[in-house]
Amino acid sequence: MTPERYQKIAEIYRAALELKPEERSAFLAEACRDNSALREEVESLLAYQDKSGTFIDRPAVELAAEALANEGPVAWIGEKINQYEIISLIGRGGMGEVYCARDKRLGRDVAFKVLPAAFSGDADRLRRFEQEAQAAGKLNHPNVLTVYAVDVHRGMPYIVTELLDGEDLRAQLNHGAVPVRRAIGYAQQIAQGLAAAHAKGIVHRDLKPENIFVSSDGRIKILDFGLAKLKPPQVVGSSIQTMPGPMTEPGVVMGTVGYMAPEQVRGQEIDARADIFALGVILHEMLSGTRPFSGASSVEVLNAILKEETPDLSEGNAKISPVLARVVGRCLEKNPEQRFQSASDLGFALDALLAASTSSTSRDRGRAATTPQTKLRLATILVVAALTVAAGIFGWSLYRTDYSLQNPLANAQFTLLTDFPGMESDAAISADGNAVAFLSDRDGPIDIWVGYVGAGQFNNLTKGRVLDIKNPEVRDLEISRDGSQIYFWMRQPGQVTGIWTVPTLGGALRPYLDGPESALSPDGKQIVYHTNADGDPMFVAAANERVGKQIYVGERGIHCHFQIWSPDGAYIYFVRGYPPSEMDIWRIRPNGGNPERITFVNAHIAYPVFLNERTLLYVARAEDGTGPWLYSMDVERRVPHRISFGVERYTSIAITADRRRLVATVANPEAGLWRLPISDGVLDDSAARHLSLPTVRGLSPRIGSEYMLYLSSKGGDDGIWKLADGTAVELWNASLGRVLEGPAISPDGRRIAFTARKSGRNRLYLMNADGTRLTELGTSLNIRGAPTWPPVGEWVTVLADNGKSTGLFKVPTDTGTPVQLFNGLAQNPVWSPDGSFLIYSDVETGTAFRLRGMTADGKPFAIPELVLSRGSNRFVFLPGRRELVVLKGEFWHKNFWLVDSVTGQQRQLTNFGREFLLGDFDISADGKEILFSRTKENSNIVLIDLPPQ
Amino acid sequence: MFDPGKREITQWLVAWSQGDQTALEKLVPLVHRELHRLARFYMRGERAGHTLQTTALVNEAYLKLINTDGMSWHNRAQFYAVAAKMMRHILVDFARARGRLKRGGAVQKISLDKAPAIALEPTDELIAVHEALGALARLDQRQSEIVELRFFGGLTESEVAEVLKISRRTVTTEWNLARSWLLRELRRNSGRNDA
Repeated sequence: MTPERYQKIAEIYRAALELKPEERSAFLAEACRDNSALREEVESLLAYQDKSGTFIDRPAVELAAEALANEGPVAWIGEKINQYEIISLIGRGGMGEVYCARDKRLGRDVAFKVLPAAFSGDADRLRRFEQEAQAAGKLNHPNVLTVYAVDVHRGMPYIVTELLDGEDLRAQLNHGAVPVRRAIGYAQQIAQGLAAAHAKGIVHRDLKPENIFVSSDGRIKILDFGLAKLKPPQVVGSSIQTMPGPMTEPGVVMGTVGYMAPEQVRGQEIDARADIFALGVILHEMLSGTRPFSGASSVEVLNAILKEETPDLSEGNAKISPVLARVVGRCLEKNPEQRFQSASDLGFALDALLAASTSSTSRDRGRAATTPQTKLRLATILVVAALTVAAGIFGWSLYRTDYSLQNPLANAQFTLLTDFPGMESDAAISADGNAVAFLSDRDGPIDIWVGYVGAGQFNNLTKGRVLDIKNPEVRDLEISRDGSQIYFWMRQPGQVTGIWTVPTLGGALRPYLDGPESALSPDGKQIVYHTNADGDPMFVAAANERVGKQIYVGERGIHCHFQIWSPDGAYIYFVRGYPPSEMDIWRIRPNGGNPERITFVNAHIAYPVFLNERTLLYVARAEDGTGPWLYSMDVERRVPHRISFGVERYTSIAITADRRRLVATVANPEAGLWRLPISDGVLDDSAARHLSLPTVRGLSPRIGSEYMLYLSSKGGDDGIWKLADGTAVELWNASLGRVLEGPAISPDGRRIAFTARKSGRNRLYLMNADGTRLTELGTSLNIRGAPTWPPVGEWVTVLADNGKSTGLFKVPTDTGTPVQLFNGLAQNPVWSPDGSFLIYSDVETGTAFRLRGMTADGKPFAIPELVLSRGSNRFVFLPGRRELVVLKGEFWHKNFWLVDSVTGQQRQLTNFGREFLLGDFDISADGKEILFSRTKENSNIVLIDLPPQ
Repeated sequence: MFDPGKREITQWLVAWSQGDQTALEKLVPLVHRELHRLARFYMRGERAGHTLQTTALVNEAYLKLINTDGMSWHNRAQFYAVAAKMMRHILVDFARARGRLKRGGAVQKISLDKAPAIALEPTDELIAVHEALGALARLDQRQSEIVELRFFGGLTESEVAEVLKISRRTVTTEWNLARSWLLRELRRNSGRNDA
């Protein structure tokens, strides 16, 4: 329409307005005589002039305000809350609104998320949410949204987080599938973020594309950890049973339909593996543009999740390799046991897929003849292996305190070498990096295995010929410089216990050295070794001799392990202390002199290697007892840095001569509780019954008269759980301090004493059996073990030192002063049922220790000689009897025995297979049953290649 | 009484009218704040039906933003015009942002049949008016100014007359026509969308 025509219409319209409505028709007929189109125009406009009450009659600001009000929650723009000034609305969702706000105090823009007021009703729930959101936010992980603050303002809970620039994954998915490589990259970043959170025991529970943010530089951030806990349960239809109870208890369905794992749909207890399922759904959706489980309604979707088979992604889609499809399929397994067991496992598999796609593309350039099969095989080798174990190395910069250091493993490439079930440990690597030797129970007994990198084939060199080949506190394997021999520790009846050799290609076993460990100097001219005598005396000898000069010996009870030479040969570094958990790294000159302490962590430390002249890499437990993780330390600055942040434990590490390649063993241990009758015969595996627990795992059971305690967690470190009437309650969370060994139940069952490690210090606690009235005892002491109750008396016995000496102390359960009962390293004390004496383990010499007795007032008390091997540190009297149940056997294959504490008579109770790794145990109140924890290492070998210098 | 806050608003408005685009950013939070005060008022259920009260409230909001008392600016009318433009700008941005939020896509136009006194999506209409007003300006500049002042600027007909230096009666007539034209345009557009 032209302005002229409009003016013509306007003129007639104005004139018509002047008239009464009934006169208009005649007027228009006259005014638009020859022009019916003009008349229609004016008439159609006039039709609107008497329509009153339309939106346009109200000011725009009113419409806008009303629209805001229609949305529901009060909008906060313009408000000042503490130091935050709310500037504008960024987004809005079911879990609240997100604003851009200005932090006046720190002068930065932040995201300010207001949660619906409905969530603030339950103070306890809110507090737990706060803890979790804070914990997740403080992970400082590049793939997890950083949370600055969580607070409540006039009953309105809010979270302040970093402000991101980008869009959520849902927005990307709205355009259809994501390119394969990018999708894998996204999933890999999500997996890393999850791994970091899971390692802290935080499960997301509501992972979905709406909670995944893709920043404009392509980095993934996971949002809203902990929020799912606050969400009211969804009513999804009659097929889902929900029960009243706290939000995170079993029976309550949470999470977004379509991304929920089957166990979540069923309202069962969920763990980190539910997040892995959700990530599988997301990855499936990224790759195909559709979700694997769909339906017309929520109920149908949920049914599909529970019952429908997972569609194969690679079918009909050439871009998706069967390997990638298998990774997705593995995430989407109905049974959590069959999924990837950790996010870092998954991350590792995705890493390998990414690496494979990168290397194959770069190779393809200029070499068009590469067949798809080659590419596929490469990816298969990397990924099939990666399906079980992984490594998560990142986050360095946030933990360092000496800024000159870089993460030594930054940009390193991780490759999984084995994917055997069971245990792999003590990996050693040849000087040239081509051969890898390790201990494995792949064929049943623990044997030495060797293989070549890239060959994908491993040979068993010992085939069950050696009774005991794994010593848990020393470096058990080494490959000779020329690669022809493997040095290993072994114990065999009638043979020398110490280092033996076997040719790498297989052959006879020959004795090499009467001592558990040795290390060749960098120039190959000298060796350092130690023997099994008290204090682990260390010797240096010419490489071709067996008799050396003693350079150091510790006091009785001290052990010196893992000797290595510094790259310049100037020092010998070693791990010294009381195994397994009170160790530090020391160094000494090859010609002796005073040793120098390098670390001050007093924890489990093992397998040190030099990464370069100054950087030491080793595996160690953290100050709070978790791990072992991988650590790095500059030997001049001496600040240890944890450099692995996944959930998997690093159990050993070794390095090549050129220090460009490492081999490590990583483990994802599992532990469950089993019960076994005490009978007159010797029982085998079939007599043991698994005790199903409502928690992820179970360790260190302790039986009371009306309940049972055990150590477990919901995914993080272990806390104390109480099982009574089929219900498990967490009495002590590991975030309050890592529990040392099993708790001790008072004879009347009403109180529980235990030791937990907090802020680098062991603390002795007492609480009521319901978890109330927690008090710390013996604060004047440096506690060194778990407490034990006497049959009668208002005190517990515990190993501790008071600054002057180490010994057993009687610590009153009231405010009384601890009294030293015995002077000496009396570990694992246990009172006889009548309270007349107690039994303890003497210091470990070599790999064995003796049980000894003392009277109730600390005088020596003769008991029959009983020598046990390393790791058998639990022994329990049958209730009211003089017999003890102990663990006897090799380190890695022990059985239950009954020992008479008066006559010394012994009787074997079990003859379990080697796959039964027996842990801590207790005896039922009627003395008829043993309840024990059985662990599985689930470890594998990982090759770590450092980037070219 | 001297109010530094209002003084700042005035200065930013002047700066904006003289082409300083960053000045608008300073005004956005102020407008949003008033918007949210209003919204909170609606939230308490004191809404449609209490027209007088609502109108008073809206006027109060405007007064806070566009208070000309004690200002040295000689041309009060010009100030109103700038303020109305500013409101149009900010409110349309606001409505668009909400449209994106709700649908993650382009704004849909809503049929007038679905638009009773309290629209389902009032902000969509706000955008529709803004777009149609562009077309109207090419046909009749003064009518588009009237709509801008009245609808976006929230002025009464007398105030519009004062700003544009025309009679109150002309404002009424021209508003009537512009309004019919806009409503018809919106209807047509939504009709096309429905087809």
